[in-house]
This record gives sequence, structure tokens and C-alpha cells, in this order.
Amino acid sequence: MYSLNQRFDNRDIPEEEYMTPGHVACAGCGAALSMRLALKGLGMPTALVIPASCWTVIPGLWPMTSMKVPLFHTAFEATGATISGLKAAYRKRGMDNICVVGWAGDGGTFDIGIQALSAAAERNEDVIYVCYDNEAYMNTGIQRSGGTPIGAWTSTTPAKNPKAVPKKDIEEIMLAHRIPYLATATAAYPGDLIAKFKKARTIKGMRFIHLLSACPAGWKMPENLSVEVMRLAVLSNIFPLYEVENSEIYRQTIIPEEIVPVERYVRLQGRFRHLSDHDIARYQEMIDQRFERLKERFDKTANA
Amino acid sequence: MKHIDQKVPTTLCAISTTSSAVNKTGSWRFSRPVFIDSIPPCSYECPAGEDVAGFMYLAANGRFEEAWRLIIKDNPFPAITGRVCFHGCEAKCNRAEHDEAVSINSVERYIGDYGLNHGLTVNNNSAKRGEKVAIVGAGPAGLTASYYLRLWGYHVTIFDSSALPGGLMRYGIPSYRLPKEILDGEISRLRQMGLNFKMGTTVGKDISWNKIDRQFDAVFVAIGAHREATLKVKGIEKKGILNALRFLREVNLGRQPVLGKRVAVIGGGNSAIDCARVSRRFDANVTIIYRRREAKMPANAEEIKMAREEGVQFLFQAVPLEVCGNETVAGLRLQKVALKNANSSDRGQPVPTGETFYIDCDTLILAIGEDVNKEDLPRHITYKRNRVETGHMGRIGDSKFFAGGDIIDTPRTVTHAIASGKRGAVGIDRFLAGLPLGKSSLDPYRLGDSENISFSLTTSTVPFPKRNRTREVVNYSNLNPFYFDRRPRMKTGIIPAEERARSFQDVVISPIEEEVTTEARRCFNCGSCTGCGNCYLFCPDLCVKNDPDGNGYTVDMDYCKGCGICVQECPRGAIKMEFVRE
Ligand SMILES: Cc1cc2nc3c(=O)[nH]c(=O)nc-3n(C[C@H](O)[C@H](O)[C@H](O)COP(=O)(O)OP(=O)(O)OC[C@H]3O[C@@H](n4cnc5c(N)ncnc54)[C@H](O)[C@@H]3O)c2cc1C
Ligand code: SF4
Ligand code: SF4
Ligand code: SF4
Repeated sequence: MYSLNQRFDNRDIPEEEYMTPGHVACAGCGAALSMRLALKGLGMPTALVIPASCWTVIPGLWPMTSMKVPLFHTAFEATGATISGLKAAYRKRGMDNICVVGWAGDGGTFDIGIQALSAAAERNEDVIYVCYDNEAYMNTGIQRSGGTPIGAWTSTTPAKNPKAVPKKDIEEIMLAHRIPYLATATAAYPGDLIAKFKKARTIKGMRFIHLLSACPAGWKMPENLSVEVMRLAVLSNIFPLYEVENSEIYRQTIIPEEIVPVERYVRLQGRFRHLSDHDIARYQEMIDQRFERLKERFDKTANA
Repeated sequence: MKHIDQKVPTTLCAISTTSSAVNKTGSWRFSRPVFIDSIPPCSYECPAGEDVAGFMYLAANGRFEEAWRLIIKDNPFPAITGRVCFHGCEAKCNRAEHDEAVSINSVERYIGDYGLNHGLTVNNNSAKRGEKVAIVGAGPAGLTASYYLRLWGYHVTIFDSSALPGGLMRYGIPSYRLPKEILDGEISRLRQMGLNFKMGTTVGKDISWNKIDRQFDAVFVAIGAHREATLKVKGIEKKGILNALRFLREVNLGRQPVLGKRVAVIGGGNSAIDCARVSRRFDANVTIIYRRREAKMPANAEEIKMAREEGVQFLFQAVPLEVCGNETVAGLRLQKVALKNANSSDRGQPVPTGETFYIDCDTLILAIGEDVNKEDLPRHITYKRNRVETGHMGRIGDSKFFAGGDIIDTPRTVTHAIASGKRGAVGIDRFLAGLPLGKSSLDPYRLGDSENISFSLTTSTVPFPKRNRTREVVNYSNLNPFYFDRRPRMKTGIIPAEERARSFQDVVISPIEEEVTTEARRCFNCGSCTGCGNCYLFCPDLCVKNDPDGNGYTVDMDYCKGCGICVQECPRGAIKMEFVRE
């Protein structure tokens, strides 16, 4: 039995699962779902390196793990270095076919791990670096990070004094390293996400994938809305889905039929509750401006 | 665990050895998802209770025979209703809130025609029963009752005063809306089931009601409402005044009616519209005269539009005062009326304004409604507002007589007649089995609180297994509209008006297969799982799994944390959260 009348044809999604249930992510966790789908795209053989983050905890307490792939826990700042070393070790042992994937949060990427990441990118290491971005240090208690959006509440940027500066543009930072492949993805668009991981696996050199990953607890919203909110981020151009080859060829992979106002995204989440209509209008302008810049590049590629 | 269970000899780091599957996270949950099968609003609205979501699903997959078999569980005449039903289902279709309603009627028409073109027959393999049932009146109500009773193995004899069965479907509705070959095709399928037709037999005249009573174990009466109402105005006895039903009957018998060049039709219902459209086909100038406003006409809006396109003129808020002329009609004197208390819910009371005027005409057709002819019915019958009074399932008093169709208190349409025939058949079946006929007896077949019964939605497991039926109707807010893009409704091909007005051919062009499958794919299949896989795909806890019985999916309650993402992301409202103390 199968329905043909839907936007997504899920029949193409690989059936194999590389995780087991019983993991300890919160109910409705976007990061757990992102990993599940990413592994479907990556396939085997794959090895993961995870620094301090929610994902340190999610697989379960030792001696348990929810992973059917090898996972190495590393220090907060060390993901870029560890994946470089692990890949080198595998290569040395004649196991070059193993895809080495770093899987870090926004704190471990935008802030604490950026030096090692930048160095790995500079050396164009043959690895995939994934940043699953839930826009704050969620595991330690929702402290603001370089990935926290402007205006958001966190435990260190209270509602009276929310974050005053915009999110770092991590894509621009990575593209400045002239890496072979960069993509944005989110679990609300599983087909797109899986296709990007599949493609990344076939490319040599440094690949960077930025995943927007909803956190019901930290974003202060009902658990059942995780996918909905990630989808709205895409539909409002807050988190456009695209890929860049050789830091030059830009392609928007999901083009929304109708752009929804950022307000719909913002108003679903308690972390933005204090924002006035005026604040939201300002935010809308910022999002529009950022998307305009990207759009020029999408158009440039499309018209080339 | 093949990638981690290797015993790597190392003293440098701790290595996990156990799967997290030992950790039953189901204990975290406050509420849990359950798969449900709810009622789509189209089915709720359909008097015959057809499983629209189901036949759309089958049609979308090109499975037309199965679609046909699903429909005829509830309606023996899909090729007929696919043409003449006023499709209230479309008015309630959830897709109307998204872009445009699904063209349910056109798809039904195609499926009905598919059955005819492929000579599909009804599997009539029920054990034979000894009891004999008489059906009086071979209109849609009587035919439907006989279809079910025959299906369930009874001996069925149908009496009808006309030469051919069909009732008003044959002698009322003109062939440009319902071609005779379609009607004949649908009825001949019933003949093949072994029904005994006694045509040209008027009960009460050729055979007495008493005799019927004595010879049969149960009787279903559906003789229709055929008594012509007349107008009390000066000159109404003149020549050139026709009655709508008689006029249409002549035309439907293939006879040439005696019709002038300028026809005035009085009335606002479907009969009036059909009389006018038929007259146009005999080259007359036609004006319909109705006492209220256009919006308040009981006739179907699409029919009014077609009539207007074919050149029928309308005169609203006017009533006749006098038929002019010597012996034959030569014009009408009318009076303008105002409407008192007219608003969106009230049609308003016409009150004379005193202002009169004259129109020219040489033929006058009265289409002002029909009543039940009480003289034709058995004496023990009682009436309420001029309709036969019945109990649940159409039973008359506590007799062996049941009634349905236009003579009882139900809207006068083919589909309502079908519904009443079905209800009556269930009643007779229960009566003969000695089962109670109370209000709740039909509950297993009813859709929620609706009076309509549906066999397909309540008993069929094709195409949706329907493991957990609810009595709730799914509305648009229960769906996740993101999963449905916007697609225009199929365009129904209509013959150009000038051409239509010259012929009695079907005015609608039959859709082709590709149009139908494309349209069927617009259906959201509200309320039942189609196995799209969203719930499986979006579960962060890997607990939505293929059902071992092949019925879509199940949730592994050992691990489900109760986040509710599956419910939120189900496109069609086929899962809901249930708060439970576990
Ligand atoms: C002009 C016109 C157009 C219409 N168009 C539509 C439409 O487009 N869509 C729609 O849904 N509905 C339409 N209707 C209404 C619809 O046709 C009726 O509601 C429906 O046919 C009623 O079915 P029935 O079985 O109750 O009675 P009928 O169809 O009236 O059948 C009654 C049968 O009983 C027989 N009979 C009568 N007395 C006796 C007796 N004493 N003994 C034996 N037999 C007897 C008659 O010969 C007849 O065959 C239309 C009606 C008219 C008049
Ligand atoms: S979309 Fe399909 S199932 Fe839903 S109301 Fe419309 S016809 Fe019925
Ligand atoms: S998505 Fe998974 S965990 Fe969440 S409620 Fe549904 S089955 Fe349970
Ligand atoms: S999401 Fe799809 S597979 Fe799951 S219950 Fe709804 S229709 Fe069925």
C-alpha cells in the first residue's frame, strides 16, 4: 500500500537503521532524528567522532550505546584534529574506504572547536564535518553560543537582555576556506538531507554540512513541533537549503513555493516570546537581506 | 552490533559493549500515539456513505475494478449518481480549504462507466433464503432495496406500473443528463442477480395491497411522489397548459410533445429547470418564472447555470395572476412580489406588491412540486406533513411494510432514495430475522452521528485495513497541509451551449483515464493511513515499525517517548495522541 499523492515520495529512503532505540535524547529531539537520517544517507563503513555536546550523552551511559557504527568521543575543541588523525590512521591501515565523520554541536563548531575545524579545512582533510546546530549550549543548560540567533533567550541572555548580536555566518567562514563541498540540511526535509550525505560521501576532501536541529527544551516549544519548526525555518528563508561545490557553484536544493513570514517561525518558540512586532520586523529584514545575497549566487550559478 | 562488538585490545579507552535497546524509554511517556481511521467529511456528507477516500486511493492507482466494487457496497448505481447526484460531498471536501474540492462526482462517474464498459457483475453468492419480499416501485429506492435483499439471498419481486424500471430516473430526468443506455446498463446488472420484475402492474389496481400483504413476508413501498400540484388562477383550464412530470414523461418516452414557440415554466426546482431545458431542445423561447430570488431556488446551481447558457430566461419575484387567451394560452398576467423576512437562512415569504405586468407565451408548464398520492397507498399508512410516517429503518408502524424514497421524509434526490432503500433493506433483513429495529440497531454501520449508513467504511478492509475506527470526522485542521502541494481541480468537459441546446446527448464529456487518476491523486485520503511512511521516517526514537500483519505501521511502546511528531507529521490525520496512565 502506498500513497502517491504527497509531496515527498518516501519510498526512496534507505530502510537500513544504524541506531537502536533506547537512546536518551529528549522526546522530540531534532538532533537524534538528524543523526538517524544522516546515517541512512552515509551508509557503511562510517566512523563517527563526537566532542562534548548533547550527542555525548544521547547514545547512552557506558557500557551502552545506541550506535551501530563506531563512535569516538573526543574533547570539546578537538573534533577537527581528531577526525584528521583518525582518517590518517585508517589510511595507514589500508582502510581508506571508511568515511570519517565529525559530529559536533554549534558550541563545538562556532566557538570552541573552530580552530581545529579551520585547520582541518585549511589542510583539506578527507573528512566530513557535521555541525548539528541547536543554537545554544543545550547540554550544559542552554547557554548562548555563536550559533544563537539575535533576539533569542538563553540562560545567559535572559529575556530582559536577549542576545544582541546575530548568529555567526558559519557557511561564509567555511567557504572562505575554499572547501570542495558545503551543504545545509534539516531533518524536516529527509530526502534532501539524505541526498546531501550520499553526495558528500562520494566527494574527496573537506566536506562541511550544517544541520539545523530543533531542541524542544531549549527553544521552549512543544515536542511534537520539532519537524514543523525546522520546516518553517526553511520556508521562511531563515535556514535556506542549498549546497556549494568548490566554494563557487551554489545550488538551492529546496525552493519554497511560498515564503512564509519569519513571524510564524518565531512565534512557535518560547525563546522568542519577548520579541515585539517591531523586533520581528527587524529580524525579517535581516533574513531578507541575507537571503538576497545568497540568491544572487544561486542565480549566478543557475544562469552560468 | 557488528561494527562495535569486536574485542579491540586496548587499555586506552572505555568501549561500549551493550546496545541501548535495554533501556526502555517508553516509561518516559505521558501520552501515546494510536493509529486511527476517522470519517472523511465527504463520506459523512454522502447520503450513500461511500468510502470516497478509499475509491480515490484505488482509482489513483488505476485499480478501477476494486474501486467499483468498493462503491457498489454502498451504491448499486455509480454510473447514475456519477451523473445526477448533487454531490454534497464536494461541498464538504477538505481539499476545498486547500485549493479546490476534489471532483468526486467525475471520478465516481468514470468508475461507474468502467463497471459498465467492462461488464462487471455483482458477486451474488449469499445463501438462498426462503422469505419472499415485495418491492413496490422500481425507482432508485425500490431498486436499491431489492439489490441488497437479493444480495442477502431473499426472493425479491418488484412491482411497477410503468413499462420499464427506473422511476423518475427514466421518466423524469432527461437523457441529456442521464442517457438511457447508462440507466439500462445499471439496471440490467440487477436483472442478472435474479430479481423478478413485474412491470406494468399497478399495486392497488392490478393487484391489491391485501394480496401483496398475504403473499409476501415483507414489503418495501417506494412509489414516489407523483401527484401534480395545480395553480388556482384564472384561466388555468385553458389548452396549452402542461404538467411538468407528464411533459417530461412524454419526452422521455421518445414522443414529440405539443409545444408552442414561447414557453413559460412556473417553478424553481429541478423539474422546472429540466422542463425549460427540454423545451429549448424543441426550439422554443423559454422563460422560467419563480416567486423568490435566484439564490433561493431549490434547483441545483450548476443546472441553473447550464440552463441559462442554453438560452433559458428567468423572471424572479413574480407570480401568475391570470392565464390569458380565449381557449388556448395566449400570454400571462403576473404580479410582482416582495420578499418578507428573507435572509441567509429563510427563503422569505413572497408578498404581493400590487404591480402587475404581462408576458407573451403560448405554452405554460407547471412545475410547482409533487405530492404523495395517498389514494395509491395502503390504508393503514399514516402521514406527517404529507409524507409517509416511518420509524427507524423506514418501517411503517409495527407492520411488515417499510417505505423509502420520495414518499418519506427525506430530501428528494436519487442518492437519498438509494440511502433510504439501503436502510429499508437492512430493516427488512432484521425484521425477518426477528432482530430489534431500534435507533441504535444501525450504529455499527453509521458514520459518527450521521443518519447515513456505510458498508464500505464500516466493514471493508480494502484499501485501508481500518483497524481502529473512530466516530470522529476529520477536518482540515487535523491534516498536515504541507505535504500536499497545490494542484488545480480537473476541468469537466462540457459540450458548448449552442450544441447542447440542439440535442439530447449527454451534456458532459466523459473524462479519460489519465484525467481521473490525476484527479484521484488530489484526494488527501483523509482519516486513513495510506502507508506514506512519514510517521516512520520522522520518529527520533526509531519506534514506528512496519506492522507484521502488513497493515501499515505500528508503534513500539517499549521505546516511544510520546513526543507526538508522528501525529503532527501524518499528512492525513490517521494517528492521534491519547493521554493514558500506564
Ligand atoms: C425532472 C426531475 C429531475 C430530477 N433530477 C434529479 C437529479 O438530477 N438528481 C437527483 O438526485 N434527483 C433528481 N430528481 C429526483 C429523483 O428523481 C427522485 O428523488 C427519485 O427518483 C425518487 O426515487 P423513488 O424511488 O422514491 O421514486 P420514483 O423514482 O418516483 O419511482 C417510483 C416508481 O414507482 C412506480 N409506481 C408508482 N405508483 C405505483 C403503484 N401503485 N404500483 C406500482 N408501481 C408504482 C412508478 O412507476 C415509478 O417507477 C429529479 C426529479 C425530477 C422530477
Ligand atoms: S480530500 Fe478526499 S478524503 Fe478528503 S474530503 Fe476531499 S474527497 Fe474526501
Ligand atoms: S514520533 Fe516516535 S517517539 Fe514520538 S510519539 Fe511518535 S512513535 Fe512515539
Ligand atoms: S504518516 Fe503516513 S504512514 Fe504514518 S499513519 Fe499517517 S498516512 Fe500512515
